[in-house]
Amino acid sequence: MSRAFIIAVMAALAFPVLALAALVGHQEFLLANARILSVPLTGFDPRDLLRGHYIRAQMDWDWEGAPAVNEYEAVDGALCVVAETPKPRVRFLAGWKTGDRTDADCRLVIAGHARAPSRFAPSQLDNGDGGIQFYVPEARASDLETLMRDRPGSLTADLAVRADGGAAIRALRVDGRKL
Amino acid sequence: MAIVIAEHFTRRWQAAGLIDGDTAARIVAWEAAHRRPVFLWAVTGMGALALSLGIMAIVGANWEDIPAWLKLAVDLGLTAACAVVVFVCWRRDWPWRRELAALLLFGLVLSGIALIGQVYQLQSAPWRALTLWLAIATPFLALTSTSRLTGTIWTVAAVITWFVAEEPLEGLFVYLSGTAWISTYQVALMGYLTASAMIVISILRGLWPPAREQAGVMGRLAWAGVIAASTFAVSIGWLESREGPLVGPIVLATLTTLPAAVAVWLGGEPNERAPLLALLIGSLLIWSLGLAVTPMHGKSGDLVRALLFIVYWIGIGAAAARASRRGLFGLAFTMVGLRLLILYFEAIGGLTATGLGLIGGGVLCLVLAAVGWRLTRGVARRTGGALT
Repeated sequence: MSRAFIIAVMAALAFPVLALAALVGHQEFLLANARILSVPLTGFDPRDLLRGHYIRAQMDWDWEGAPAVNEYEAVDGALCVVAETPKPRVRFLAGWKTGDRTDADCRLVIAGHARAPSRFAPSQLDNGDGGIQFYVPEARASDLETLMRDRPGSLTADLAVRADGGAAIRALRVDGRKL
Repeated sequence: MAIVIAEHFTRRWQAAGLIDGDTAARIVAWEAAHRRPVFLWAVTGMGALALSLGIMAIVGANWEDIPAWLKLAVDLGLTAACAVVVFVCWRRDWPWRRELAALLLFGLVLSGIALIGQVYQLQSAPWRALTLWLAIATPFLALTSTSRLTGTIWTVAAVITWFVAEEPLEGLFVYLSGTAWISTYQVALMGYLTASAMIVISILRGLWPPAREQAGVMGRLAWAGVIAASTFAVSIGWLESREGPLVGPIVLATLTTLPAAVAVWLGGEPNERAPLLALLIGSLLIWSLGLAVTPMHGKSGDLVRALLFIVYWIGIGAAAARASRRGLFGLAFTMVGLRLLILYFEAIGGLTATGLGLIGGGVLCLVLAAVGWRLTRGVARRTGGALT
């Protein structure tokens, strides 16, 4: 057996480990270079089929300028966050792409898709219909759904927003306490 | 258990005069000398299963309490350890341990991707995760695994990934074929394309001597895929029809058939080239005709599709009879019979339309079974020489 073939096999076997480690490293790098924005969550229908492992929710934005989107349409663009607290106050920028200029009052920009009525989900989190899946402890899923319904604003997501407009979920919180 | 079975059969063969008493005694003695402790294996297996289920239950019950970094570290550690085991088994030439370890590593890579998605709350379409899985795992599978089992699982994983990516591929198919697709027709095209590609891949894989058996099973799966895709194409008329030109998809299917035909001609076994090429061209023809007649509605559409289906499977049956493949011949006959039965029920308007209709269906089944019995017995068995 040739030396080159042995090296190729070793490389092929090391590749999965290195690739998985690189995925973890990439996610950590993205989170380390992001700003955290706390966004309240509200209920979303239909609920997740794998109920108990995930909850479905949508982000509850304080709209300064709501997106003009027809029923069953999705418009690409971004949210311009003009105020971060108490609830992110936002304006929709239709057609915005990474590298485009933003208004001076935008403290953060989150790329994503807008849908009717006044729904927006970041690109990387959009589940295809504007809903977002959150992995949660199985025993607490039902309580969290009730909480979202009965006490709006108590369940929040920490969004890690990068300079290019990408966003990832950093943490879920109930009344400010990490889940 | 094996010794009991051996005794049963040797007695049966001895009584039929196929083997003499000495041979029967030697067979039983050999089985006794090579007996395997099946019951001990079963108890060991149950123990290992109980142990692993117990570990999984404890981990599952405390899953939320385990820090994310620990989950990721254990997963990466297990993946690395499994990769080392594959390497050691490969170097020492322990085929079955190597194959099982490679399959375990294949599974661990997928679970690692899922775990990373869970820990970092990543949202992504399943096809992306599956494509990443195959991209990461294909190099080590290609270099270290040569068994039929691994080849089958690898092929199934690739085909599932391909079909799961149906939605994002729709734009590509529209661009390539110049036709707006309805999901059902895209599935027919995707099935045909993937089967043609698998023929090429299996022949290329077979050029590496250690993987020849694996390539053989991949090739059989690919041919089954070609037959299934063509059968599907002549069976989808009852769904919503798509109006418009069909030249684009047919040209696309023809273009993908060409490399498969070249691969069969250059890399196939000399005695199998002609029948396999005939099967490939016949399948492309039936697939194209199936697509061409989809806009036909009503009874005439049902009849044309049924005829295409029956002609195709009669062709497969005839080829199987010539090649003395009794199993395939029986399958072809069953498919023709089932299609005739469906056609009969389509003609009378439903399964329980009338009592006479049911009686007619029953008689048709019995006649088909009798004809099938006679025809199958008439197909010569393959003579593969002595069993080794």
